[in-house]
Amino acid sequence: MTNKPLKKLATVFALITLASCSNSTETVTEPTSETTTDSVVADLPAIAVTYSIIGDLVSQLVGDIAAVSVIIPDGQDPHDFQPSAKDIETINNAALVVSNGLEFEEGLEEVLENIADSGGNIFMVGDHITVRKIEDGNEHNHGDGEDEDEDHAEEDGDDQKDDDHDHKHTGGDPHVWLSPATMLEMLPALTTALSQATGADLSTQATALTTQLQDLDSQVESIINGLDECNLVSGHDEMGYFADRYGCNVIGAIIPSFTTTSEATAGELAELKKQVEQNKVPAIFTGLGTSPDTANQLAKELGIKAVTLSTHYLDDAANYQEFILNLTNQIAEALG
Amino acid sequence: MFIEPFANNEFLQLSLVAGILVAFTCAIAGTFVVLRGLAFIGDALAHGVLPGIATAMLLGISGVIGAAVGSLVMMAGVSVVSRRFRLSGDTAIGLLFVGMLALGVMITSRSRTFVGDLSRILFGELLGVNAGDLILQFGALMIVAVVAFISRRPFLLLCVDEGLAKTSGFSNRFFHNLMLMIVAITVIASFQTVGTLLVLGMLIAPAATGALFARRISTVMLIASLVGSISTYVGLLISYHFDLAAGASIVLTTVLIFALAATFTEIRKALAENGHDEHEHPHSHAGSHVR
Repeated sequence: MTNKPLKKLATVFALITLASCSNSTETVTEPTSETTTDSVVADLPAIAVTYSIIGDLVSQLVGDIAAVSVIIPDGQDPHDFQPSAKDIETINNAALVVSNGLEFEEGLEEVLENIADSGGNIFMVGDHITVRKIEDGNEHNHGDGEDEDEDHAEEDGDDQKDDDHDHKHTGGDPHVWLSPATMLEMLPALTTALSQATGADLSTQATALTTQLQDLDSQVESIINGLDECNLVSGHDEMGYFADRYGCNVIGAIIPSFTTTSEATAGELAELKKQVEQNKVPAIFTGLGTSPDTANQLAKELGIKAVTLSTHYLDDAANYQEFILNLTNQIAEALG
Repeated sequence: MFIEPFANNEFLQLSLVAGILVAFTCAIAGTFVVLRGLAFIGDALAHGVLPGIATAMLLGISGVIGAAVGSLVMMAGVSVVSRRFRLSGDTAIGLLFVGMLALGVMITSRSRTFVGDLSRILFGELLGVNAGDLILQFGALMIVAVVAFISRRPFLLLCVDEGLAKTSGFSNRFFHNLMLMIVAITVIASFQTVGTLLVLGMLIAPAATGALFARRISTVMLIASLVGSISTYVGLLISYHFDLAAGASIVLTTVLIFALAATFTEIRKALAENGHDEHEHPHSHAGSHVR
């Protein structure tokens, strides 16, 4: 009689452990173009990149000359991700660490700070671009009448972030990768850093990539110009760089914050509803870090579509260019 | 100001209904939690369902089923540890609680597919409630209400006098487990609205407020339902007017209402005592201090 509950308990625990185990091995053994498994190529210089989008750009530059590891697996929220001991080891042992900067990878903050403090090699994309900042009401005038609310809401989001993390808040939008033009800005500096770390001349690759990104930029521009209106409502305040570059308006976001670690509030949702109605936005975009239920309910109430956008990781795309094009086409289709 | 937000926004109407349903369910289960001292295991259940929910979401099945499995494991585990290994119930609960929570964090942290934030499971998504959620919540309320009603006598005895319960011919263990089960059902149904962490607040604070003023179980439940419902309404208004998180606003309101009620009873008691002193016979109690 007394053995039965023990056996039941053991079985259930075993099942749960198995379920979690099978997921973690998936992460380790599934190779993608820019990740390497543990100890494959010991001779090549190791470059550690925090997330897959920048990781792809790095791979396109270094090719086979270096072993590129991406720390945050696709599907994990980069705003949230907590590194394991292994991840930290990978970062510490890398010849160069490439990160987004602008406090994007909140869970990696301390590790990256330690690298910088101890004189390690770390490249932050945010240091080499024109940062989209919040200022009191003026910096980004998009659309009608949502400025003050958006700024107010963003500041609230930032205040919430400040409460979670005891450090100075720069107030810059970290979603830099969503504009190819912004990537072009940082490309020269990235190439230099990678050349130094690998000891190789990467100018040919850099030129090729520059041309590709310029083409991409034009392509996106023409797609967006084909729309009557480009009004963007997203899961969190992520579309800023894209909107600025291609002349779209950021109407608002379900979580009006640069990070997904904030929560939606009734007041801000109600305000967003008003803005969407006023601007006659045909679709809202949701994605990683946003509650799909909240997005769907909002869309239902407004009688419009809720479209899932993948904005923080490569997902199905083979490379950065495809990623941006997929994104743009999805936006155009939803708003067209 | 007080009605318009709800009138103009369907999502707020849905949140309000969901919150009230949660309030009623928690009032019933919570009354027993408070009267029988089950707060710790209630908390443990609220956290213990985490790996169940995370695993279920990973496997693509309903989080509710995962939560149900999680709570079964939790309760079975507590039972085994405390009885077979003869450790105190407290210790057993603590062990399982922390173990399950850690397992839940591990599962969500290493999953390759996006299962939904840990914080969303813990804090809920009240503003994203849909009709399906409401039906689920209503179902849970019905089950909890029916079970509590049918078992009202043994439950009452368990809360008041365990010894008497035993001699009255009820199986204490069975009804204790039944009580835990309705707490578990409450937690399982509510995690999608206020989240597992905050369900605990809804279980305890309104019922505690009720217990300040009443002795009869049905009255405590009634007061708890009222407190819970009012807190939902006030909390949503706060979230609307001050741009604050909804679930947390509601739970904080329940605790504040308790604080106010407790203060009120203290004042009432102090006033009654003063009044009593003035009319007291000088020699009614030996050694009493009479001015």
